[in-house]
Formats: sequence, C-alpha cells, structure tokens
Amino acid sequence: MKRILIVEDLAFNRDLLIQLLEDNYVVLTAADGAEGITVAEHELPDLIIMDLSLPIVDGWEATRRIKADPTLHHIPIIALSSYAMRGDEEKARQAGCDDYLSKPLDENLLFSKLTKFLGTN
Amino acid sequence: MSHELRTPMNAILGFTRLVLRRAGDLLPERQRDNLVKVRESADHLLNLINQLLDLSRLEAGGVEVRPELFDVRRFIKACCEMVSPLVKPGVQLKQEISHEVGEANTDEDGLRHIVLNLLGNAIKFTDVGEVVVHTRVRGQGNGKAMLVVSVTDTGIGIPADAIATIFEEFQQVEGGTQKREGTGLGLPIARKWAELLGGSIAVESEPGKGSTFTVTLPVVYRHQPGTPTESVGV
Repeated sequence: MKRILIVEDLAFNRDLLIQLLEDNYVVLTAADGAEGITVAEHELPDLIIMDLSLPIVDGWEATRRIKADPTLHHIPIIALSSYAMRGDEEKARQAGCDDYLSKPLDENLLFSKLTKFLGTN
Repeated sequence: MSHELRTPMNAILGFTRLVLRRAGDLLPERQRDNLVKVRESADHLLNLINQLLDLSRLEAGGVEVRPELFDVRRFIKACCEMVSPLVKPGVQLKQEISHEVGEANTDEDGLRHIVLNLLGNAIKFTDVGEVVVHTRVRGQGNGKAMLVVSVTDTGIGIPADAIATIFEEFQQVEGGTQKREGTGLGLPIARKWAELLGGSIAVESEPGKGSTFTVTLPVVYRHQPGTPTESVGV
C-alpha cells in the first residue's frame, strides 16, 4: 500500500483523514510542521497532505523546506486550507505545493487527487 | 476569529459525511434522514459563517482589489456554466453578449462574486420562463468604459416597498408561496464588491413579472474586433 503522511495539528481533523484513508493507504501523522518534516525525512512517504496553519513551523514553510531537500522534493504535497481565502492557493503553490484542497473536505475530490498522484490502489 | 468558527463546523460536516458514507446504508431510513438533516444544516451554517466573514472583511476594508485583464466573454460563459445545474426544468438560461465586449481590466474574483450571486438569485426565484444575462460595454474612449452586466428574470419579483431593503443583511423578501433557501447575505456582499470596484448595482422589479439587477463597473477595456453579438441559450 502507498504511504500518506498527514500533517495536521487538530486531532479531530487528523482522525477524519485517517478514517477516510486507512482502508486504502498506510497513514502516517504529524501534528506540526517541524514534526512533519522529521517524519517525511525518516519515512519517505509517497504523498503528504499538509494543513497550512500549523504550530511551530507553518505548512507553507514546511513545504518549502521539504521541496528544498533533494531527497524529499519529489514527494507530492497536497495543501489543505481551512478556508479558500483569497490568495491562499497561490501562496501554497508558490511554497511548492503540488495541489490544493480547501475544507470542508470534499472526499471525492480528495480521492481523485490521490489517484492522480499515486495511481489506483 | 475565522479559524475558530470554521474549524468546529468543518469537523461537524466532515464526520457527519463520514458516517453517512460509511454507515448510511446500515441505518434505518428515518435515522439516515435525520443525519442528512444534520449535514444540510451544517452546510447552511458554514455557508452563513463564510458569508458573514466575507462581508465583515469587505466592510473592514480587508480585501485588496487586484485588477487584471481578462476575457469578459469567456468569463460570462464560465459563470453561466457554473450555475446551469441549478436552473429549474421550466426555465431557460440565456446569455446575450454585445459585439463590443472584449477584454476588461478589473478584479475578476470580485466580479465573479457579483455575477454568480445575481445569477444564483435569479435562478432561485424563477420557477418558469427565463433568466437572461446581458453583457455590454458603454462609453468607449481612451480605453475607459463602463462594463454593464444585467441579469433579468421572469421570477416572483420584489414588492416596491421591499426594494430599498434587499441590499441589507438578512432581508430576503417573502414572496410567492415557498420560502427560498439562502443566507440573506448574498446581495449585501455583491453590493460591497461592486462599491469596492468603483461601481454600483441597480435593481428594477415588478412583482409577479420579474426583476432586473444591473451591475455597472468602470473598467479599462480592450475591444475585441470582429466578434458579432452573440445570443445563446445554455
């Protein structure tokens, strides 16, 4: 199974994503941007779902650092924003995110994006 | 504040959808219906929260205007395509685009807010007949012009004494026989956007006959030569 890292500070939101994904993917989690970078380095996941407003290191900065790391920069990152604020998607893409989803999460859209990056399971 | 309001709403919505998705078939029908009502109410409340936050940001001057040159024809067509699934079976959605309409320089997101709101309202309040979006450019010269987009419907119309208040918050007009779903914030947001872009929204209406909402915005404008006036149904 493909491995997906969820970087999300709120336990509720992590839990929701885990339940959506656990049947088809191995799910790894991190609760802040710094932990996200560490887990990415150690586990080399196939894809990262990155919340943007995160403590310690925010999602934009974590994305920039991951994309600047030659061993990690190939990992697709889908940004997750709590609301489509004007310019959010642009900022996320500038930071290096490969795709973008806004909350509330549209499950079908999430699954189709995962299929786009990871192929079908 | 926006994060604090949206986060629990997103959790309510997300988990309700998850239960419906995972266990909807296992629930007795009435209990599934109850959960669908939770989901619909949560959707509505999130919509309301988002619109309230949009409006307060617009009122506080927290929205930056970002003008860019874009193809108005393509823009209007895209707006019509977005709302076309909402059009009722007895209603036709039509676009009329005058020949002089080409590219204009204004805030595309802002104009999209306005046009989608006016189209959404027209469709919502029209059960039979048509909704026509008419786009034209007035007063060319020196590249300055007014972009005029009007949305005319054959819907329930607005009583004369209510016209003055429809741009105020939570003032959906009671009319016809059914209550129409809405947050009551769409028109106030549309008007704020129009003002922010230096323009205005006007309304004419006759109860039982229909309404016309017209947005007029100053734009820097580029003529698209050789394009005939288009009139198409979608």
